[in-house]
Amino acid sequence: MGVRGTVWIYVDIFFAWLSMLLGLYLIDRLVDLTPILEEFMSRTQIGVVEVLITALLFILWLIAWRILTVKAFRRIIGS
Amino acid sequence: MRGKGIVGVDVHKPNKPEIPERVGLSMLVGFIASLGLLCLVDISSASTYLAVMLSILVAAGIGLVDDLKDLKPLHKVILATLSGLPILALRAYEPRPLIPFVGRVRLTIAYPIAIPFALSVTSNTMNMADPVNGAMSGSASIIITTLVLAYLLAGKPKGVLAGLALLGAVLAFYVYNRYPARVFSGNVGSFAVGAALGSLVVTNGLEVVAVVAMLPQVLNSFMILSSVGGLKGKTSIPVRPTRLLEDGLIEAVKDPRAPLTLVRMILASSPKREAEVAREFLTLTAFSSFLAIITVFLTVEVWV
Repeated sequence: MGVRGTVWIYVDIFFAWLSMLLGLYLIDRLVDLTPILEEFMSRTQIGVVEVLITALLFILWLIAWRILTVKAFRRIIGS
Repeated sequence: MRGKGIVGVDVHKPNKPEIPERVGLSMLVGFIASLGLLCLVDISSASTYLAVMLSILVAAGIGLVDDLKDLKPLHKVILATLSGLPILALRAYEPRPLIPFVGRVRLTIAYPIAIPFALSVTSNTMNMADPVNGAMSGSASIIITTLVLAYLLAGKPKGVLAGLALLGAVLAFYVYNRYPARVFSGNVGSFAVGAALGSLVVTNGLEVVAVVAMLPQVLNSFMILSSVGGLKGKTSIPVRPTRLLEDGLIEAVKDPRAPLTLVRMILASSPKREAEVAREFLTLTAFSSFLAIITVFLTVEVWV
C-alpha cells in the first residue's frame, strides 16, 4: 500500500467522516419514504421505522469501517 | 492515595513505578464545584447543570465500584445506563437533534430511550481509551474544547458555560496525568469524564459533531469489541495487544488473537516510546476535532 507510520489511521478516520456525511446527504436527497409509508402507517410509526432504518444503516457503516480498518492494519503490521 | 496504598503500576515504563491511583476523584470535585457554581449563577438553566452533575456523580460511583470490585464488562455497560436517568428525570434534553444536511429531526420517543445507552457508550468508551499516560484526560480536553467552540459557533451559551466548567477540571488533571504520569485517574475518573461528555452533548445538542470529535475513541472501543468477540474482561483475552521491550520501546504484538486497539494500530509500523504513542493519540483526536468543527458548519447556521 505504501502507507507508512500512522498516516493510514488519519486516512481511515477521514474516510469514516466523509462516508458518514455522504450517507447523510444521500439519505436526505434520495430516500424519502414518508409518501409511501403514510398510506398505511401513523406519523409516530413512520418515525420509529425511520429510526430503525437509520440504526441499521449505522451498523452497516460500522461493519464496512471495520473491514477497511482491519485490512489496512494487517497490511501495515505484516510489512 | 500513595499513603493509603492506592497505587497502580505504570506498565509501560521499564522500572514499573507505582503511581497514585483513583485521583480522578479530584476531577469529580472540580466538576461538582464548577457546575454547582453555574447552578447558582445561571438559575434559569439550573436544571440542565444539575442533570449533568448528577449524571457524572452516578457514573463516577459506578467507576468507583469498578475500582474496588472489578466489575464484569457486561455489568459495567448495564450499570452505566443509570447515569442517563437524571437527565430523563429532569427532562434536560431536546428530542430534536440537528443532523448535517437532514436538519432538525423529531425523535420524541426514540431520543429519551437512547439517552441511557448514549451515556453508557461514552462512559465505557472513555474508560477503554486510557491505555497510556495522558491519553484519556488529554483527548477529553481536546474533545470538550471542540464542543465549547461548536456551541459558541451555534449560539448555545448554556453549552459553552457547561463545557468550560468541565474543561477546567479535566485540564487541571491532565497536567498531572500527562507523560510521565504522576497520577492515574482510575475507573472513577474515566467514567466521570465519559458521562461528562455524554451529558454535555445530550443536554445541549450537536450529537453528530460530538461523534465525529470522538472518532478515534469510537474506533478504539469498536475495534476492541469486534476483535475479541464482544464484552470480555482482561483475564479472558489470551494475548495482550502490546509488549514493552527492554529498551523502553512499546511494540505491537503480531499475534492475530490480540485485540485490535488504537495503540496497537499506532505501533503497527514500528515500536515507539510511550510519549510518542500518547502524542499520536492526542494528534488523532485533534484531527477528528478539526473534522468535527467542519461538521458544525454543515449542521447549523453559524452564529458568529
